[in-house]
Amino acid sequence: MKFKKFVIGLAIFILTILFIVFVNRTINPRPEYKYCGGYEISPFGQSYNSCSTSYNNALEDFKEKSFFIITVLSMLAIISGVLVKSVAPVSWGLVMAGLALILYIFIANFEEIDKPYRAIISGLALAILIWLAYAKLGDKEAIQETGSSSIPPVSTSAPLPSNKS
Amino acid sequence: MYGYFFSYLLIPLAVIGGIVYFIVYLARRNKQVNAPLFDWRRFGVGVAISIVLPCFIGFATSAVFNELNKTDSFITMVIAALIFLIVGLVIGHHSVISVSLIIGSIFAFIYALSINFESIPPSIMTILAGLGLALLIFFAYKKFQEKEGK
Repeated sequence: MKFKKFVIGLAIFILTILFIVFVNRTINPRPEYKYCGGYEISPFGQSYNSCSTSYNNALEDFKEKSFFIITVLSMLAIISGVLVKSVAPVSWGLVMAGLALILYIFIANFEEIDKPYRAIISGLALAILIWLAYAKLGDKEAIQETGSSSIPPVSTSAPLPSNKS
Repeated sequence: MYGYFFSYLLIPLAVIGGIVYFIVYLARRNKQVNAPLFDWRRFGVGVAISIVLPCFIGFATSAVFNELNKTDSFITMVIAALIFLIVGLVIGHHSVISVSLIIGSIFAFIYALSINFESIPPSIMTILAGLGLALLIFFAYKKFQEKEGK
Protein backbone atom coordinates (compact mmCIF):
# COMPACT_ATOMS: atom_id res chain seq x y z
CA MET A 1 0.00 0.00 0.00
CA LYS A 2 2.83 2.33 0.89
CA PHE A 3 4.53 1.48 -2.40
CA LYS A 4 1.35 2.35 -4.30
CA LYS A 5 1.13 5.66 -2.50
CA PHE A 6 4.75 6.39 -3.31
CA VAL A 7 4.25 5.58 -7.00
CA ILE A 8 1.15 7.76 -7.18
CA GLY A 9 2.99 10.60 -5.48
CA LEU A 10 5.92 10.22 -7.87
CA ALA A 11 3.58 10.23 -10.86
CA ILE A 12 1.88 13.39 -9.57
CA PHE A 13 5.31 14.97 -9.05
CA ILE A 14 6.46 14.20 -12.62
CA LEU A 15 3.17 15.08 -14.27
CA THR A 16 2.90 18.39 -12.40
CA ILE A 17 6.36 19.36 -13.61
CA LEU A 18 5.51 18.34 -17.18
CA PHE A 19 2.19 20.16 -17.01
CA ILE A 20 3.76 23.43 -15.83
CA VAL A 21 6.62 23.21 -18.36
CA PHE A 22 4.26 22.57 -21.25
CA VAL A 23 1.81 25.26 -20.15
CA ASN A 24 4.75 27.64 -20.28
CA ARG A 25 5.76 26.38 -23.73
CA THR A 26 2.20 26.73 -25.01
CA ILE A 27 1.62 30.23 -23.70
CA ASN A 28 5.15 31.40 -24.35
CA PRO A 29 6.88 29.62 -27.29
CA ARG A 30 10.67 29.83 -27.48
CA PRO A 31 11.96 32.02 -30.35
CA GLU A 32 13.79 30.10 -33.09
CA TYR A 33 17.21 31.24 -34.22
CA LYS A 34 17.55 29.49 -37.55
CA TYR A 35 14.48 30.95 -39.24
CA CYS A 36 14.62 34.56 -38.21
CA GLY A 37 11.90 36.67 -39.75
CA GLY A 38 10.66 33.86 -41.99
CA TYR A 39 13.88 33.16 -43.90
CA GLU A 40 17.03 31.22 -43.16
CA ILE A 41 19.90 33.50 -42.18
CA SER A 42 23.57 33.05 -42.88
CA PRO A 43 26.36 34.38 -40.63
CA PHE A 44 27.77 36.53 -43.44
CA GLY A 45 24.54 38.00 -44.75
CA GLN A 46 23.34 41.61 -44.52
CA SER A 47 20.48 40.71 -42.27
CA TYR A 48 22.61 38.77 -39.79
CA ASN A 49 23.21 41.59 -37.30
CA SER A 50 19.69 42.94 -37.24
CA CYS A 51 18.30 39.43 -37.05
CA SER A 52 20.66 38.51 -34.25
CA THR A 53 19.64 41.59 -32.29
CA SER A 54 15.96 40.87 -32.72
CA TYR A 55 16.55 37.25 -31.74
CA ASN A 56 18.34 38.33 -28.55
CA ASN A 57 15.49 40.70 -27.68
CA ALA A 58 12.95 37.95 -28.29
CA LEU A 59 15.00 35.59 -26.10
CA GLU A 60 15.07 38.13 -23.26
CA ASP A 61 11.31 38.55 -23.56
CA PHE A 62 10.88 34.78 -23.55
CA LYS A 63 13.01 34.43 -20.40
CA GLU A 64 11.09 37.14 -18.58
CA LYS A 65 7.73 35.58 -19.41
CA SER A 66 8.99 32.10 -18.50
CA PHE A 67 10.21 33.33 -15.12
CA PHE A 68 6.84 34.88 -14.37
CA ILE A 69 4.70 31.95 -15.58
CA ILE A 70 6.75 29.18 -13.94
CA THR A 71 7.05 31.06 -10.63
CA VAL A 72 3.31 31.69 -10.45
CA LEU A 73 2.39 28.10 -11.37
CA SER A 74 4.97 26.66 -8.96
CA MET A 75 3.59 28.79 -6.15
CA LEU A 76 0.09 27.57 -6.98
CA ALA A 77 1.35 23.96 -6.87
CA ILE A 78 2.97 24.49 -3.46
CA ILE A 79 -0.13 26.24 -2.06
CA SER A 80 -2.45 23.51 -3.29
CA GLY A 81 -0.08 20.82 -1.97
CA VAL A 82 -0.08 22.41 1.48
CA LEU A 83 -3.84 22.85 1.53
CA VAL A 84 -4.54 19.24 0.43
CA LYS A 85 -3.17 17.64 3.58
CA SER A 86 -5.59 14.72 3.89
CA VAL A 87 -4.13 12.79 0.93
CA ALA A 88 -0.38 12.44 1.48
CA PRO A 89 0.75 11.43 -2.05
CA VAL A 90 -1.11 14.32 -3.65
CA SER A 91 0.29 16.69 -1.05
CA TRP A 92 3.95 15.73 -1.37
CA GLY A 93 3.76 15.33 -5.14
CA LEU A 94 2.45 18.85 -5.63
CA VAL A 95 4.76 20.43 -3.02
CA MET A 96 7.87 18.73 -4.38
CA ALA A 97 7.00 19.59 -7.98
CA GLY A 98 6.53 23.24 -7.08
CA LEU A 99 9.76 23.20 -5.09
CA ALA A 100 11.74 21.59 -7.94
CA LEU A 101 10.47 24.12 -10.47
CA ILE A 102 11.12 27.08 -8.15
CA LEU A 103 14.63 25.76 -7.58
CA TYR A 104 15.18 25.44 -11.33
CA ILE A 105 13.77 28.80 -12.39
CA PHE A 106 15.46 30.82 -9.66
CA ILE A 107 18.85 29.23 -10.16
CA ALA A 108 18.56 29.50 -13.97
CA ASN A 109 17.75 33.21 -13.75
CA PHE A 110 20.02 34.20 -10.89
CA GLU A 111 22.66 35.76 -13.13
CA GLU A 112 20.03 37.89 -14.90
CA ILE A 113 20.43 41.12 -13.01
CA ASP A 114 19.02 44.62 -13.45
CA LYS A 115 15.44 43.36 -13.60
CA PRO A 116 13.27 45.02 -10.92
CA TYR A 117 10.18 42.93 -11.68
CA ARG A 118 12.09 39.79 -10.65
CA ALA A 119 12.67 41.33 -7.23
CA ILE A 120 8.94 42.07 -6.98
CA ILE A 121 7.91 38.56 -8.04
CA SER A 122 10.41 36.86 -5.72
CA GLY A 123 9.34 39.16 -2.86
CA LEU A 124 5.70 38.26 -3.41
CA ALA A 125 6.61 34.55 -3.56
CA LEU A 126 8.55 34.90 -0.29
CA ALA A 127 5.64 36.68 1.39
CA ILE A 128 3.16 33.99 0.27
CA LEU A 129 5.45 31.20 1.49
CA ILE A 130 5.91 32.87 4.88
CA TRP A 131 2.16 33.35 5.19
CA LEU A 132 1.63 29.69 4.26
CA ALA A 133 4.07 28.52 6.93
CA TYR A 134 2.56 30.89 9.48
CA ALA A 135 -1.11 30.17 8.88
CA LYS A 136 -1.20 26.57 7.71
CA LEU A 137 1.84 24.71 9.09
CA GLY A 138 1.60 25.43 12.80
CA ASP A 139 4.03 28.32 12.97
CA LYS A 140 1.39 30.64 14.38
CA GLU A 141 1.07 28.52 17.53
CA ALA A 142 4.85 27.99 17.82
CA ILE A 143 5.59 31.70 17.52
CA GLN A 144 2.85 32.61 19.97
CA GLU A 145 4.21 30.04 22.45
CA THR A 146 7.73 31.44 22.11
CA GLY A 147 6.45 34.98 22.50
CA SER A 148 4.41 34.22 25.60
CA SER A 149 7.15 32.14 27.29
CA SER A 150 9.85 34.79 26.80
CA ILE A 151 7.87 37.41 28.77
CA PRO A 152 7.48 36.41 32.44
CA PRO A 153 3.94 36.74 33.82
CA VAL A 154 3.27 39.71 36.08
CA SER A 155 2.58 38.68 39.65
CA THR A 156 -0.70 40.13 40.92
CA SER A 157 -0.10 39.24 44.59
CA ALA A 158 3.04 41.35 44.97
CA PRO A 159 2.40 44.95 46.05
CA LEU A 160 3.07 47.68 43.52
CA PRO A 161 5.98 50.00 44.35
CA SER A 162 4.76 53.32 45.67
CA ASN A 163 6.42 56.65 44.93
CA LYS A 164 7.62 58.10 48.22
CA SER A 165 9.10 61.48 47.62
CA MET B 1 40.70 32.06 -7.55
CA TYR B 2 39.10 32.20 -4.11
CA GLY B 3 35.84 33.28 -5.72
CA TYR B 4 35.79 30.09 -7.76
CA PHE B 5 36.57 28.12 -4.62
CA PHE B 6 33.56 29.65 -2.87
CA SER B 7 31.30 29.30 -5.89
CA TYR B 8 32.05 25.71 -6.79
CA LEU B 9 32.82 24.13 -3.43
CA LEU B 10 31.42 26.10 -0.55
CA ILE B 11 27.98 26.96 -1.97
CA PRO B 12 27.07 23.37 -2.95
CA LEU B 13 28.35 22.17 0.42
CA ALA B 14 26.33 24.85 2.20
CA VAL B 15 23.20 23.95 0.23
CA ILE B 16 23.56 20.22 0.93
CA GLY B 17 24.40 20.84 4.58
CA GLY B 18 21.47 23.20 4.98
CA ILE B 19 19.01 20.73 3.49
CA VAL B 20 20.33 17.85 5.62
CA TYR B 21 20.12 20.02 8.73
CA PHE B 22 16.59 21.00 7.80
CA ILE B 23 15.51 17.38 7.37
CA VAL B 24 17.04 16.34 10.69
CA TYR B 25 15.53 19.34 12.45
CA LEU B 26 12.02 18.72 11.13
CA ALA B 27 12.21 14.98 11.86
CA ARG B 28 13.24 15.67 15.47
CA ARG B 29 10.66 18.38 15.83
CA ASN B 30 7.88 16.08 14.64
CA LYS B 31 8.99 13.36 17.06
CA GLN B 32 8.60 15.74 19.95
CA VAL B 33 5.02 16.68 19.17
CA ASN B 34 3.89 13.11 18.30
CA ALA B 35 3.35 14.10 14.70
CA PRO B 36 4.29 12.00 11.65
CA LEU B 37 8.05 11.45 11.42
CA PHE B 38 8.49 13.57 8.35
CA ASP B 39 6.13 16.23 7.06
CA TRP B 40 6.73 16.93 3.37
CA ARG B 41 4.67 20.07 3.48
CA ARG B 42 6.86 21.64 6.16
CA PHE B 43 10.00 20.48 4.36
CA GLY B 44 8.80 21.79 0.97
CA VAL B 45 7.73 25.20 2.20
CA GLY B 46 10.86 25.56 4.35
CA VAL B 47 13.26 24.72 1.53
CA ALA B 48 11.30 26.99 -0.83
CA ILE B 49 11.70 29.91 1.60
CA SER B 50 15.42 29.09 1.96
CA ILE B 51 15.83 29.25 -1.83
CA VAL B 52 13.59 32.23 -2.55
CA LEU B 53 15.10 34.42 0.19
CA PRO B 54 18.68 34.70 -1.21
CA CYS B 55 17.25 35.12 -4.72
CA PHE B 56 15.01 37.91 -3.47
CA ILE B 57 17.96 39.64 -1.79
CA GLY B 58 20.07 39.26 -4.95
CA PHE B 59 17.33 40.47 -7.33
CA ALA B 60 16.44 43.43 -5.13
CA THR B 61 20.09 44.47 -4.79
CA SER B 62 20.74 44.15 -8.53
CA ALA B 63 17.58 46.14 -9.27
CA VAL B 64 18.94 49.01 -7.16
CA PHE B 65 22.65 48.93 -8.05
CA ASN B 66 22.49 47.32 -11.54
CA GLU B 67 25.27 44.89 -10.62
CA LEU B 68 26.20 42.63 -7.76
CA ASN B 69 29.96 42.67 -8.07
CA LYS B 70 30.76 45.86 -6.19
CA THR B 71 31.15 47.00 -2.60
CA ASP B 72 27.80 48.82 -2.31
CA SER B 73 25.90 45.75 -3.50
CA PHE B 74 27.88 43.53 -1.17
CA ILE B 75 27.12 45.69 1.87
CA THR B 76 23.43 45.88 0.94
CA MET B 77 23.20 42.11 0.53
CA VAL B 78 24.99 41.48 3.81
CA ILE B 79 22.76 43.93 5.69
CA ALA B 80 19.61 42.39 4.18
CA ALA B 81 20.85 38.90 5.06
CA LEU B 82 21.63 40.08 8.59
CA ILE B 83 18.14 41.55 8.99
CA PHE B 84 16.51 38.29 7.91
CA LEU B 85 18.90 36.34 10.16
CA ILE B 86 17.93 38.42 13.18
CA VAL B 87 14.22 38.07 12.32
CA GLY B 88 14.70 34.30 12.08
CA LEU B 89 16.48 34.18 15.43
CA VAL B 90 13.96 36.43 17.16
CA ILE B 91 10.65 34.87 16.10
CA GLY B 92 11.41 31.50 17.68
CA HIS B 93 13.45 28.38 17.16
CA HIS B 94 10.58 25.95 16.69
CA SER B 95 9.02 27.08 13.47
CA VAL B 96 9.47 26.54 9.75
CA ILE B 97 9.80 30.28 9.17
CA SER B 98 12.64 30.80 11.64
CA VAL B 99 14.76 27.85 10.45
CA SER B 100 14.28 28.66 6.78
CA LEU B 101 14.98 32.37 7.29
CA ILE B 102 18.20 31.51 9.13
CA ILE B 103 19.34 29.05 6.43
CA GLY B 104 18.28 31.38 3.60
CA SER B 105 20.13 34.34 5.06
CA ILE B 106 23.27 32.20 5.48
CA PHE B 107 22.98 31.20 1.78
CA ALA B 108 22.59 34.87 0.83
CA PHE B 109 25.62 35.83 2.88
CA ILE B 110 27.75 33.05 1.35
CA TYR B 111 26.63 34.02 -2.16
CA ALA B 112 27.40 37.71 -1.57
CA LEU B 113 30.80 36.78 -0.19
CA SER B 114 31.61 34.41 -3.05
CA ILE B 115 30.89 36.85 -5.87
CA ASN B 116 32.64 39.76 -4.18
CA PHE B 117 35.51 37.97 -2.52
CA GLU B 118 38.22 39.42 -4.76
CA SER B 119 36.78 42.91 -5.14
CA ILE B 120 36.00 43.83 -1.53
CA PRO B 121 38.54 46.06 0.23
CA PRO B 122 40.29 44.30 3.14
CA SER B 123 39.08 46.96 5.60
CA ILE B 124 35.41 46.15 4.89
CA MET B 125 36.13 42.43 5.13
CA THR B 126 37.81 43.02 8.50
CA ILE B 127 34.84 45.01 9.79
CA LEU B 128 32.35 42.41 8.58
CA ALA B 129 34.34 39.50 9.98
CA GLY B 130 34.65 41.32 13.32
CA LEU B 131 30.93 42.07 13.42
CA GLY B 132 30.07 38.47 12.54
CA LEU B 133 32.37 37.16 15.23
CA ALA B 134 30.91 39.55 17.81
CA LEU B 135 27.39 38.51 16.86
CA LEU B 136 28.22 34.81 17.10
CA ILE B 137 29.91 35.24 20.49
CA PHE B 138 26.92 37.26 21.71
CA PHE B 139 24.37 34.65 20.71
CA ALA B 140 26.51 31.75 21.95
CA TYR B 141 26.99 33.51 25.28
CA LYS B 142 23.30 34.27 25.57
CA LYS B 143 22.33 30.71 24.71
CA PHE B 144 24.73 29.10 27.17
CA GLN B 145 23.76 31.56 29.86
CA GLU B 146 20.10 30.67 29.40
CA LYS B 147 20.90 26.95 29.63
CA GLU B 148 22.94 27.40 32.79
CA GLY B 149 20.15 29.52 34.25
CA LYS B 150 17.68 26.66 33.72
